[in-house]
Amino acid sequence: MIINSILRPGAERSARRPRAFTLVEVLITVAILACGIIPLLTMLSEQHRGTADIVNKVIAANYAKDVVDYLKSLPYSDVDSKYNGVEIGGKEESEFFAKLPKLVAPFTRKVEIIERRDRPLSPATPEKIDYKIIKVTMTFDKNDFRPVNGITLFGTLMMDKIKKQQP
Amino acid sequence: MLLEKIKKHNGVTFVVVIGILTVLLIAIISYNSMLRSERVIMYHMIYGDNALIIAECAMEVLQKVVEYEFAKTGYERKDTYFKYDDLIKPKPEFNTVAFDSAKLTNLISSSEPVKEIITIFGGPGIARVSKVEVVIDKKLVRFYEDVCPQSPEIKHNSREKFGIITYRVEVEYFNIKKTLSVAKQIRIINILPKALRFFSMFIKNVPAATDLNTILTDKDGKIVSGKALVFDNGDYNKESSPLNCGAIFLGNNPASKQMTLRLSHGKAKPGFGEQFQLFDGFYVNEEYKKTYPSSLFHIGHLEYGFCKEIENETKYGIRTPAEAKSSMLKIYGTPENPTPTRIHGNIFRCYLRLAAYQDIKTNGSEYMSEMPFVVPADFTNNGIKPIAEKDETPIQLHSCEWIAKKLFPSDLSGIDLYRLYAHYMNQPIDFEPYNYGMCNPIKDKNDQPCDPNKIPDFAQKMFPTGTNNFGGQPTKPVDEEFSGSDMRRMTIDDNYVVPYASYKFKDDSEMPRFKEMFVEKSGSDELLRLGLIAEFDEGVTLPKLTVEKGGMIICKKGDIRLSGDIIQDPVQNQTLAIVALDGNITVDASRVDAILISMKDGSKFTPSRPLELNGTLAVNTMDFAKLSSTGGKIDFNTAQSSPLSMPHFYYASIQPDVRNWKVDK
Repeated sequence: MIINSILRPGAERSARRPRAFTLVEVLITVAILACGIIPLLTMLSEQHRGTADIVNKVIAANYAKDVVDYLKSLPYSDVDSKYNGVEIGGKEESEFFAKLPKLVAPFTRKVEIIERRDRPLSPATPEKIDYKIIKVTMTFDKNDFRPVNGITLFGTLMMDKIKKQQP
Repeated sequence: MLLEKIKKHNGVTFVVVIGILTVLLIAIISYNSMLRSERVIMYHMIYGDNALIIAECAMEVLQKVVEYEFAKTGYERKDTYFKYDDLIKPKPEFNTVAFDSAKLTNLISSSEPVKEIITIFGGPGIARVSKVEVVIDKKLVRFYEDVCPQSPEIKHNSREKFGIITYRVEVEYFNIKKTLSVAKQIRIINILPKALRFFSMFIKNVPAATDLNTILTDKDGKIVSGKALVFDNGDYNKESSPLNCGAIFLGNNPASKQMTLRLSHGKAKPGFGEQFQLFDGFYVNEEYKKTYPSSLFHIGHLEYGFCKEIENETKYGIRTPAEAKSSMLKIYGTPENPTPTRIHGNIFRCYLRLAAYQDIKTNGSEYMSEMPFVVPADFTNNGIKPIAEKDETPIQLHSCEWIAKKLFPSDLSGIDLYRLYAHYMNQPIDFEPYNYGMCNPIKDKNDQPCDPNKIPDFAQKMFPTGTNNFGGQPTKPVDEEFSGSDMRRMTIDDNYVVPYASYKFKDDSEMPRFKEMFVEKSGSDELLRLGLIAEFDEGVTLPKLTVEKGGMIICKKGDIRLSGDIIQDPVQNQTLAIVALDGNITVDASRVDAILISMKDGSKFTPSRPLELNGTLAVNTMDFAKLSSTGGKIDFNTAQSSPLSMPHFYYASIQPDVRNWKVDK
């Protein structure tokens, strides 16, 4: 029979009554497919949003590092509140921000220098320290390519010498 | 029905549908999984980056803490995180120095800046500093004695070394652990020969024609115009450092010739002269009897000598400077800060002050004056006689114990009596055995006494080890580096010092660069933050500086001139040594808080105006004529010799990352 079907492929088919798929069969098949694919596509979409979010965070972190790297290259005494400010990607930049790699939309960069003086090094030690925290807040808005809003906080430390506790 | 159809169609449709579905499913799941993995990887990257940023901050704090520990003086150091003694151990004993990781971890993780950074990154629930380590691995340490040439007179200090200090900070961020390591070069060096730290003045060659005694009076005892060179050699009577008194070395030229040094107080400044230290008794100097046969007897200390000026007197006591032909080289403190002085050298010492005396004229026969509060110029010599039994003829020599029993209740004895007497005399009798060791007749190999230019067992004589019966803590041996027997040969060897120099400058023309690197303006002050050895190839003029971080400035060939005051920051209390390896030092300043060294043969120290030196003056010779016209004061810096501060002089420096280190070889 196998040999026969190979040698005469039309003979057996012609012997049967040809029948098409019924609508019901097609609908059932589509339904099964839909039941499987829709949740997957939904999940895929979520993953895509998540990926976009993390990509934004990576970009935001790099923008923040540009600020930190620049400020940490300056002498401790030079870093002060004059560097505080907000930069919105794609818009006109201040003198300080112009020194940094260009920020593109939809990112926004906020720089804040927090200065602490005569703070205890730790609760258990009498020594005092002066230090500065460079805090960078990066935000990014939703748009066609970046379908999520987000905020990333970034900070680093500049520290002056430890001071002896005066008697 | 479907099954039937499947049967009828041999299941092809079903298989196709399920197959497509499966393929789609697998594709979507794979894509989804890929996205998820990618996202996880990116989150790991971000979290890891954040962990490293926190670790960097913690590392900055950690390095500051360790540097701060290194910069502490011996007095301040509490060995909180590591034992400084471990760091300076000599080669055979040195082992890996591991800092207390638990303490450091606790300190860093609880430090305010690190906590603040962690808050920015999400708070302590997300991020934490989990481990901090600082290690100086023995395998990464080398000793200078293995790499530097040896000189004949100075043997290597086996404690000096250089190597790598490794900092490690481990941070956890969302369970992602990141470890940041930083390795830096560390050097543990002795910034100057230890022997010099015990001296307030060390003059290798006092010219033969120089009479130190003429600084205030001439040879006939007449007061001449001039100023005294005043020494304040330490705080022996303070509990913190009872043995903290400076020594003076006067090397004769030629060494064989004996120098006579008359020590007393003069009119120029209220104070009192060198304490006459009483031990077990006095003696009659037979040689002196031959020279001055008319004298009935002579009181002098068994080891110190006797008073030359009493040759025609049958009584002993205090007299005015002019009468006594005294007040020359003034070696004394102030009433508030009295000081005994050890003087080494081939020196014959003369005394004008005795241990106790009666001032009949002023106070009646029974009154015993307290020496420490005597103002010299107020005395006359009439009616003053030594302690003696009433009507004792001839006056006998008596021990200090005998004198003490006359002064204090007779039922007192032993240590109580000695302590009272010590208080009365204001001298360190508690520690007498060690001072006594200092004052023993020191004989050379030819059995000739009093030639301390050659002291084979100098260290043992000066600072014996152990604890004495009176509870005194002697200092450590004077100097493990000086191996010669003739102190006049002690010097600073170029080969010994130059390799330690971290920065080199040409001459004065590079002073702006020096200032740029090590000097910071603070109002009108210029703060010197050296912390290492800087070398000038040729002559240099140092301006007015406030020493916040000590170290050493050396001039390889040429003169050093101090054009302004060198003031030590009282808070930092760090020592600066200024060394002319082959040149003179000229001081045109009124105050210098430093160790000045110019030891090369032919070099000279010259003060241009009255100088107040707080530290040590170690020179080949000095311009005594200039000195006699300017005068001055040398205060021994007690921190230099205290046993507690010994490690302070081993300067553990963490080297800067960018260096200009050259060694001419």
